[in-house]
Amino acid sequence: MAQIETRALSHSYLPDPDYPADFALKELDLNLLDGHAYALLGPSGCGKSTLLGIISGLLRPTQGEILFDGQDVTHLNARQRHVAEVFQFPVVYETMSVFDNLAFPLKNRGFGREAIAKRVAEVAELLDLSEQLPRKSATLSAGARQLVSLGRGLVRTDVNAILFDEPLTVIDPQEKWRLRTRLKQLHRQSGLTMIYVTHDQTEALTFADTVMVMHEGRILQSGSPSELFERPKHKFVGKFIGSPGMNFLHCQFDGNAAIVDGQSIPLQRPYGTDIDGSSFELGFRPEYCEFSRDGSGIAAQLIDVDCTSRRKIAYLNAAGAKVCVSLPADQEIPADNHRIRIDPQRALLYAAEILVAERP
Amino acid sequence: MSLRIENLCSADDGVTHLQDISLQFDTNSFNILLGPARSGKTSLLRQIAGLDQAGSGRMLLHGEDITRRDVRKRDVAFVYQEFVNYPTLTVFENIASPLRVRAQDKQTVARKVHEVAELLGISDVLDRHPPSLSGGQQQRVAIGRALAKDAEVILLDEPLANLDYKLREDLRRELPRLFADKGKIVIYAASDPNEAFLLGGNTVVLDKGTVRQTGPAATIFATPASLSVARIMSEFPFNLLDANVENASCTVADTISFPLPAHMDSLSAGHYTLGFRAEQFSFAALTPAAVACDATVAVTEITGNETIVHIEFAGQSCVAVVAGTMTFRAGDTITMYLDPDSLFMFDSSGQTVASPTSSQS
Repeated sequence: MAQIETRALSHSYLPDPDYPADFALKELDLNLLDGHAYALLGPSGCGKSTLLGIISGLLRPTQGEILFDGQDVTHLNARQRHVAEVFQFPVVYETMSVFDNLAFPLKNRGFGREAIAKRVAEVAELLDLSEQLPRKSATLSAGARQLVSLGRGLVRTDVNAILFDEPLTVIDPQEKWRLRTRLKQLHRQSGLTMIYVTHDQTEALTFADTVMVMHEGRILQSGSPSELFERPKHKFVGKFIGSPGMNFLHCQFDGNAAIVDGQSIPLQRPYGTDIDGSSFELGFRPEYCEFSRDGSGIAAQLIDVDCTSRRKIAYLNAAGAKVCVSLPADQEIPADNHRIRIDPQRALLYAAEILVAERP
Repeated sequence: MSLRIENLCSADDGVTHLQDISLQFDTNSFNILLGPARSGKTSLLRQIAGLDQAGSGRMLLHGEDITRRDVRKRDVAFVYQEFVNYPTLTVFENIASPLRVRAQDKQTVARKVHEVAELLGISDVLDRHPPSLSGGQQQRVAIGRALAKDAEVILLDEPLANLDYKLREDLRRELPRLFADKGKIVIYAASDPNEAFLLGGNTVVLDKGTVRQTGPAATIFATPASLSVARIMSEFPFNLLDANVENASCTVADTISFPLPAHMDSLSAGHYTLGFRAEQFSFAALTPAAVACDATVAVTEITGNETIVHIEFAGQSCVAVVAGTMTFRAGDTITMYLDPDSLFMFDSSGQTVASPTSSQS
């Protein structure tokens, strides 16, 4: 078990990096608490897998250092750091039984027969694999094989952390649910530090206590799932979290209300008086706006409607931008004269793509 | 004009992939093959493409038997889950390749490539090579080749599965439009029920190599023919409880009991399986008939504006999804409510014997 810190960590895949754009990771100072579950979330190329590689010891960072419980491990390899890793594709010996797969790392380290049997039984219990122990690994589902991969890392008793690199990619939607819940229970039972890399917001938000949203080599925001949803600190986070993402409309700001398309939306928050006056945008979630039924609100043209089993998503043009409105599947969309009303309590003000802070 | 599949079966090494498949796909239609892994989606697409040989049965395109026709002679385009492009050719040449095969003149090729690239929003990367592009762009190139080929039948095998989800959202919205009103038969394999809803069109539910149900996604969702269909059409794990029907009332494992709602009143006494979706659990009694269920929390997941609660109820693992952020600890006892009018009932063979009328509107 370990607290994991990085100090001024940066990484470039180029031999002679110079410009900021040359770096896949840019000056990262992290402090990951012992026993916490973290997710690194971002689009491909954001640096999340690079960061995971540096934590696991597969990659040596260009600059900076990494510490486990205060000890500098920057120059230790993956094995010496005692981290268990789970990758996209299960890594198991197909011809071996589940038991032999789990026992393999212990046999290699010269453990006795009884010690092996005891430890394998413990790990199998933890992963709900006890009944599968005699089975050939090749006959297991993809999800169960992922658990066996994980188990091979866990049988060692000195594990500092478990790292997951998109572990549900090849798993069926239905099985994904079971495996994700299993991982979450495992976190609670084992108390191990877990770091989970994914580009899928649902996986990140449901798995982690703290989600770190990455973009272009930086962590833009780190917070609980509901913080990221309710108060994205950066426009990118607002757009990336949520399906569809947050709406943004250009607006003026008079110190109290946002003015969009001539309409005043009273935000009534304790904003400071020294806010930079350029490029304001009002951010609001598709879930926090609705079709006005009384002629008030911002005029909009309906472009299209998508229906899922539970929600309707209306796509509109309003105030020169695209806006989505999410409503329950059983609610009707007005036939014409579309106007959108934004919930002022839940709308947020952004200046130059950054959330405008309120006074405490 | 259509593609007809009649009693198609396929197997190899004693493993059955497809079992007595009969389907019709019309010209100008968008069709979804929905099913879990190994349900037969890819097998069926490969049969239609001519990549695999059928064991028995026939395939007719506009009435003409194409069952034994060579893959090269079928007018079919195939887009795979992995982004399959020619890595050493430019994007332009990738899209142009099916046109070159047909030896079309230079100007026609250039015009068509630009048309397709424009439609897919990749005009600015025509000079680049696929490996230098993002996943979304690479898949657009593969789709571009299928469009340029102008085949009558377009097969897409989970084409969005390997994309980042934001890119997936964009491309999913564009796809049906790309092929609409062009006289094509589009067949799209998916494992996520939401794709069936969002892409629209005709849904074919496959399971274990068999067609379980066909129709619009919303209709199948409201009236699944069987337990397996209800499960495949469900976004969250579908909840199941053993139930006993007797004297016009329903009892679940000695924990809850309620008078049979109207849509179940023709059920005879006996054992059944009660089924319902995660969203049917609520934290308040929404109707006078609502039944209180005391459950134990196993795991809570927060997705931003919704909370997914995994609970133990009546000796079964169930899933509830509710609006807002709820924080429960594992082991907490909570009371949730179920409206009997919203429940499905299945017989011992897994066939649906009662669907809630509220969901059929």
